[in-house]
Amino acid sequence: MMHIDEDKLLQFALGIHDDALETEKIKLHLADCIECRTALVKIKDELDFMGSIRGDMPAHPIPLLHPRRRLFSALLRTAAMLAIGIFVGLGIARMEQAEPIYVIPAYIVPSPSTYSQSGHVVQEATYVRLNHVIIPAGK
Amino acid sequence: MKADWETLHRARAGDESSWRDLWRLHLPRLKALAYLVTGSVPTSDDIARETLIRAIEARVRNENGSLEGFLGTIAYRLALKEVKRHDRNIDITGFDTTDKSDIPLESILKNEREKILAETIRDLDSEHGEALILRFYGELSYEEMAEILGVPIGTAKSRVFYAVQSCRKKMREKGLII
Repeated sequence: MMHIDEDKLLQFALGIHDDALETEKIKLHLADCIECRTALVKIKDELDFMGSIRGDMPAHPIPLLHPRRRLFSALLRTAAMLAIGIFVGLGIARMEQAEPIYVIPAYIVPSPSTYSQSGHVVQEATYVRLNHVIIPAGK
Repeated sequence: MKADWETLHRARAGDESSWRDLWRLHLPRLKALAYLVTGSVPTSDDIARETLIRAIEARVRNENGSLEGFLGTIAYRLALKEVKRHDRNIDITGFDTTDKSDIPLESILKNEREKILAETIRDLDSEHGEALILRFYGELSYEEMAEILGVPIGTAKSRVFYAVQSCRKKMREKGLII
């Protein structure tokens, strides 16, 4: 008796045999041939082993959130985001509207008259700093 | 409607015991799938959990396929996304595949065999590895595989065939099978 080729047995075990007639022939042969049946069982065992890796199970599943609770928590998150957005937005708006701060600095320069004594005098401001830009006073 | 889908629907409606069933029945397999794709144990843990949460929240249009395939597809896509995000190295040593029901010695042997098997599958070339993981761990039908891989059904089938052939050869070389 001719035995079934191993590749054909593997295709049969994987269910990828497209030819219905061929599949039927294999089934008929398997019914009569113990050697081919044994070979098929071996292939199936190998396939089972190939797919046998399993990750370990955590002791407890994470709790299931009821859909209503999920909806409530989603609404809560949205409300919180909105509130944060409003606060941040208001803060930025306030910052933009703030009046510029004028600073009249007094520059410390070495006084020629007291230079030899390592002394300094405060000269009257000639520049004004406006938001990090220094412009001549009076402009 | 199949029993598995009913479990998902009941869990979605807030039934705790169905939720636990989903975990018990699918989590270990999804975790293995995610591990084989990403090679990272902590990531595979996250992906498996995320898969079940997404399944609960997803609107399923077509329930003709199996729930296993549906979950496998979600897990596979999440794992691929993770691989793209991080190009991780393989860390076989951290994978705990211990079956608590086994006696210690058998458990250790099984664990070792699983580690070698995981290495073998991850060593397959990418097309074969992908096909084998989707078929054996994603439990996708050939039609679902063809869709997810964007190839004809015949190609999906032949990839699985050659993947299995290649894997069997490597398993034999490593002494996993005779």
